[in-house]
Amino acid sequence: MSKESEAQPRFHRGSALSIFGSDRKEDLMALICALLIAFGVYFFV
Amino acid sequence: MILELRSYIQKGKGGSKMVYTKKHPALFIIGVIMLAIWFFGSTGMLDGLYEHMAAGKKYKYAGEIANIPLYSGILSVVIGLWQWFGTHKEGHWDYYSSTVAGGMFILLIAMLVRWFVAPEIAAISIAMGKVGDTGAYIHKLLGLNYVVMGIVTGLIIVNVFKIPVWAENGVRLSRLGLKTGVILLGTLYSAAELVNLGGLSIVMIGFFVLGSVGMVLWLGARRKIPNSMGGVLSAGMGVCGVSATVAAAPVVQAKSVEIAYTIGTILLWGVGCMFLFPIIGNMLGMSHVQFGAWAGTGILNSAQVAGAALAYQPDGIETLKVAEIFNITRVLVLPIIVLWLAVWYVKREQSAERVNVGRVIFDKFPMFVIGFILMFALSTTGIFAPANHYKGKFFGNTAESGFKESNLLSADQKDALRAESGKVQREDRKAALGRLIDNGKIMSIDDDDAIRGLINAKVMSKDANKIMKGAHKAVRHTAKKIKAFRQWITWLFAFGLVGLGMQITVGAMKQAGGQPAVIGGIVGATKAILSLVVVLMLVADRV
Repeated sequence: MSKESEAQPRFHRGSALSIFGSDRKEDLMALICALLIAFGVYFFV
Repeated sequence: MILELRSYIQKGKGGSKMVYTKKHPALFIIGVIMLAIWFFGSTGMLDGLYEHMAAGKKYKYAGEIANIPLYSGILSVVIGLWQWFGTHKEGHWDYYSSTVAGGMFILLIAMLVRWFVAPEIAAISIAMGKVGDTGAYIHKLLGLNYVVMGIVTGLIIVNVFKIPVWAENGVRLSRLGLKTGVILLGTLYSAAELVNLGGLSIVMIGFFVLGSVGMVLWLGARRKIPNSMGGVLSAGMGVCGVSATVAAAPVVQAKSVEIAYTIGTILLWGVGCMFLFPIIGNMLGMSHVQFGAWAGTGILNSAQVAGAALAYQPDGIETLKVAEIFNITRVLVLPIIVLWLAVWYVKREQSAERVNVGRVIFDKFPMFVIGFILMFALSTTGIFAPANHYKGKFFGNTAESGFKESNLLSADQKDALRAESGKVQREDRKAALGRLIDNGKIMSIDDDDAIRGLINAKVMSKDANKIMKGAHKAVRHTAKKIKAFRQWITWLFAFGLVGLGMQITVGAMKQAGGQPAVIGGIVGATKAILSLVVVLMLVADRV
């Protein structure tokens, strides 16, 4: 990777592996998604 | 290369200074392709293809094709039109909505691979016949299923073609998919399963995690690598890969380059194991429980554990459930390892700055594990399935619990069982059979277990066994909600693993080099081989 590409990262937010700024935020979002799916299954299945 | 991997650990500063949404027709086109798949599938135009791919069996995915591409296709077309023709300004809405294109790109690849490519490869493999004396088809031997092919497709896209610019942001959603899947897995365990698996996993994980950490530290000292490098590598090799590396880094004051070396080593080793473990498992004929225990112990990183487990059993979730229990047990050991490394490092480095270990554990502990436990707790209340369910099935011999009166044994069936009841020796089985004959149905969960034992013992004739199997099936019901969760989990993992493939770059793996790769290789191989031996010797076929 060249110095230019380091100076101009592809993403200004998050990391190369995640759109979230920290693992904690990603974990919380995963928990919210899981709860939404669980409520959906509970009410509609 | 260092700079490339540094992006794994560098977190953004927030405050976007760019517009992420691309004015591009890609998402709209993806939506049209999905809707076309749904249309051709629903109108019967793909029936010939289904028949060909099923190779004499029933095509398994027609039900999925009738639903999933419709909803995802509509969503993609609507958002795609807005992305293509709308005006976009920088901000949160732009940032998060721009991920939809990449997310749908991954989903489309997962659909194509699961529904068409993998079944076609299987059909070709079956047409080629079984391989020599193995008695197995080549696609089974090599583990060529939708999970492996999805990851390989992702690897090819990122390393050969590059990820399209409009999809780059959304590809970073894959880990969110995997984490959501792990949390939802909590709904599938019953208390009985968790007790059985939990005891086993604590013993195995305790031994192998502590053993691996100790071995890396010992080898590191002998090979004279810096203590900070040894410390961070030991956490990565011992516990759960990238999360453990990041959690341990502050207590051993690891430099960015050392974290990068560790993550490179873990990725290199993890990806190799993800493809190799299922092939070895198939060659050894391991049961789902044995393979799950081995993958959950021997593979370093959470995502690759899930990949190997699903690759081993692509159309079922039993292996994944066992593997994830082992993986989660491993993550729960993380605080102990961080504490150990903190004490070890301060003792060896007199000048080391003391860090607040409790704070590090609190800040870095993976919260999705807590989510898994929360979901399991929610499930044990019985809101998704009766609390006594086992693997999603529950006992019920009343009309309210799903028993059909038409399944009561007929007089002839009762006579047939009565005529052979003298063959049964064990008192519990004899009593259960007596109650079955008297009532025409199995009367309790214990009786059901006894009748199943009687069937497996094969002491009665085939006809009698057939009657008892029918009686057993009549009182075992599949929980619809559990079935729905299985479907969600399968797709979340499929999504996450295709995306994971797109994040494994050759450059990132090349990051492993020199001493860390040598030590990682020795410890990783030792752990994989020893855990395989222990699993084959100690883990029963069923739990």
